[in-house]
Amino acid sequence: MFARINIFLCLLLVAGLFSACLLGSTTLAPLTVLQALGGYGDPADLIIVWQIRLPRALAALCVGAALGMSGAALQGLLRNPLAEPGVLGVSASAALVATVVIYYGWVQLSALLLPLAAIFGALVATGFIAAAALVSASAVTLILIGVGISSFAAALMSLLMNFAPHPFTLADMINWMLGSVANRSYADLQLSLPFLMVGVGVLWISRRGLSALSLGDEAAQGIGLNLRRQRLLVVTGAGIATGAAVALAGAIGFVGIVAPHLIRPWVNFDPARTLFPSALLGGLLLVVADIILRLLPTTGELKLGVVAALLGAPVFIWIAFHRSVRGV
Amino acid sequence: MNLKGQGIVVAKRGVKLLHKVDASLQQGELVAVLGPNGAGKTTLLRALIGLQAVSDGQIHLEDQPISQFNDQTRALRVSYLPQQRELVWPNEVQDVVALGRYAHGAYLGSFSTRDEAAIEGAIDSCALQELRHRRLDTLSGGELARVHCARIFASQSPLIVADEPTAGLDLYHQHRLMALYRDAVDQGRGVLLVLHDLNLALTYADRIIWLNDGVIAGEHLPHEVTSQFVASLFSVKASVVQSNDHAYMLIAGYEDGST
Repeated sequence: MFARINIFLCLLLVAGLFSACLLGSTTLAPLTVLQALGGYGDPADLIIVWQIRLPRALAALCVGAALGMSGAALQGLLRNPLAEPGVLGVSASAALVATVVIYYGWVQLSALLLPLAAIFGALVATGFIAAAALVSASAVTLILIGVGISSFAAALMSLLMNFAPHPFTLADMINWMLGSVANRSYADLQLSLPFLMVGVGVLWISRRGLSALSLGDEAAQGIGLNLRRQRLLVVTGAGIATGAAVALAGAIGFVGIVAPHLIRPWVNFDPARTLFPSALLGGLLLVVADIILRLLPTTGELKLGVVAALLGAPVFIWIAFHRSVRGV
Repeated sequence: MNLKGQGIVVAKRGVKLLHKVDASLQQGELVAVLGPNGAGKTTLLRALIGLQAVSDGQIHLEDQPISQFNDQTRALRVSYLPQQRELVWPNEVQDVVALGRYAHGAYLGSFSTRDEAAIEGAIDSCALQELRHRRLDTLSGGELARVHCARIFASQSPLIVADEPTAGLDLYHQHRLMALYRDAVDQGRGVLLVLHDLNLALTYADRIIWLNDGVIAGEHLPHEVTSQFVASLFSVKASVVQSNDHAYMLIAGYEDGST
């Protein structure tokens, strides 16, 4: 019964990826794209489809899927529809370490350094939150520690920008923080994908416990859930997946809130059933957003993270308002 | 199957919440725990199933220390219904009942035939057929209490421990819920309930444990309970009323001079 929404989203996603190959500064004919995908046709079209548009769309898909699933799992764990990877401070910490690498100009040493730094930052923050999850008894404490880490990382990032040695360095930092999938290559994907798979895999293992948690911590223990193990799994999985997403595209917010929220009514509000479709929808949202911003006739490059925030923040407020009205 | 606590001591930040408390539960009996607010009733329940660390005392489930069990193996033997039954998401009734099968490894959408039978049986016994596709946020307090009851029954654990399952219910639903637990006991399960309503306990329980200020104030069979005992324990004016060969307790105001 609930497989239908997954099939529906998968079809939309395939259509989205195809459109991403189709549309752009030069629109290709559908047949040309199909030929190019099959490896035939004009070498220039082959390059546009295989080397430029497809890896970019796949990057958007991966980032959206990681954030969507992380958001769904964290919302299930913390039992709060406003939770998302950013709330735990994982995104900010990942961005912070990446910013340090840019600040000291280490990017020139190796192209791998920036994404690896982001993943490292995410893992450090994740370790911290995971330790808190083992010690602390309450989900609220986790949120508050996450908010603290997030604010501190943001403050340190501001400090680095404050002392940026060079205007170009500053521009690099800002670009990173705005979030984008422009010019992503298969090499970038290859680097992030293993982390992303591990994170998503860990979240997938934790799904049964997320259902149990819809009864609340105490009752979930009552039906046989190991609360500490569950917290550890979700926090670690979401941390690694988010780190991989930030490594690929910088900081992109709100997808992790919006996707699960839209999915929930379609799966009878069960947190476990929310995971997979949230990943699909998160991916779809970013693929479509990336197509739109490529088509908009802006003078500068419009960043994906900016578009996501512009669309996501009002939805965030709407959810918060709706909740208070319903009194949930 | 039995659950047995001896000499349970629980202290939090130097304050003793429970002091040398003995409590036990067998299959085939309904035990009610009563006592004033802050007597340590919830703490006792949590300690008995190993969710609350104890400073001293032994707790045995099936003649093995409770610490030998993990959350899952414990839940297969004794179900726990806590006082906080918060609504997090407006889940569907039958999904919530199905969560009772969690310890059996069931996962929403993939149930064994045993899981299915247990869930259907619980839905039937708690009269939830009509409500099974309803969302939790559309239910009344009484209906919600029945959903949680069905969830506990679906686990098919031999023992059940529930913290104030009748709190906030109207008279009809209080009795209806107690009758459900009574049926479960008559079918061979053991049920330990924290209650606040004296007459519910007198009507349905086989044994009453009185808790006051962290110690056992007494333990009675229902017909042994005297108005003097109740009066002194709760600082109220109590008298016994006989009706249909059954003793009920009438409370007419509180006693001055207590704090």
